[in-house]
Amino acid sequence: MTSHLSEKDMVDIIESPDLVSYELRQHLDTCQVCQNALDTQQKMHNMLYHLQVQPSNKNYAAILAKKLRQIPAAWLQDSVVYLAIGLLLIIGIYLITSGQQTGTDFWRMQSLKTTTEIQPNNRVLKTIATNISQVMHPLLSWLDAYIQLKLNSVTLIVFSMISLLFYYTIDRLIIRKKLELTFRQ
Amino acid sequence: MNEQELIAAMKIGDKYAFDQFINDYRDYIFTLSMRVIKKKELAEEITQDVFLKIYQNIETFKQASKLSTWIYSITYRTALNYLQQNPQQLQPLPEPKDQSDWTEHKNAWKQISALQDSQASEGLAEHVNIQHILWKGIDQLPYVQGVVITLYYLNQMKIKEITDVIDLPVNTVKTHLFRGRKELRRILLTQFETEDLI
Repeated sequence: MTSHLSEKDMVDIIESPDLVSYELRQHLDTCQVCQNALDTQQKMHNMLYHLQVQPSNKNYAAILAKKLRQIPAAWLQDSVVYLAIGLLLIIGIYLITSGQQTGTDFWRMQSLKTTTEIQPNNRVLKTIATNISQVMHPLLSWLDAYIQLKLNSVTLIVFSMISLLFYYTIDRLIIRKKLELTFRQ
Repeated sequence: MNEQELIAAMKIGDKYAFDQFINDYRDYIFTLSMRVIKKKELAEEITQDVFLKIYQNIETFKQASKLSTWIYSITYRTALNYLQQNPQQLQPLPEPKDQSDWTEHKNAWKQISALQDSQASEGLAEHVNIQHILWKGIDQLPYVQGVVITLYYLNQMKIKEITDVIDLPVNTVKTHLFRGRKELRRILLTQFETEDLI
């Protein structure tokens, strides 16, 4: 080994002197430059080994309590809340834009359209079209029921989201209050 | 209360556990913040923010790493975020032209230097002034070197743990440790003009 020890080697030797490879040890024994570098590193290591913590402000608890009171809307920063609000908005927009039209309404309109658009002298065709619409009308009441069920599900989801949001808000407020009380002591 | 009990108690909102947690860690978090921010008042603020973050996120701590690693990682990121938002703080502190800052420590250094080698270690540990001298020197290092030295010596962390905290490769951390020690020695030599201890 001809090149000098690397910075990494020096750190490894100081950290685990027993694990120094034979090659490195052999180089160290013969290289004054590396010996000196390692020696100065070792001295600094010995000195830093006694490093102690720096004391922080003793009025820390009071400061933290004050800080907590200064962030009344900190819980709003949580993404869960934004997600809940976003979902509520989407559901709201869906409810508003979907309107009140049901399957029955649609087929009643189709029935009227068919009877007015078809030529009055073509009685047979008009009768058939009207009958089809009238047959479809009760069948589509099933679709109405389905849509109604969907609307009920949406209501249920909205209610659940509002409950979750409420619980989350209250939970955060209680935690904050607890923490404030803790640090006032 | 051991670490796992402490975490469990904090997760259920035990105020005494959090109180103990603050007492255990506040000086360490402050000391690490100081290495990045280098201003006492700001480091205090960072410390507060770190505790708030820990309190708000303790439920998400899965114990995949040690609690201390998680805490120091939050501390380091919080301090770095502060620096990114306030880049003027990134300017390195100039070496003091006025040597009076160091003069008060010179007598202490002489006393320590006068000790025999065998006594020096114990003397250093007990000497309050040596702590001021070391921290003063460390504060003149680039902040990454100061952070690595703090985590390695003060927090007794392994190199691998430090990489988890500051998100740098192992060899880079080793380089910072080596250069930090070397530069610190240069700073102390400049101030005290003696090689007795260093």
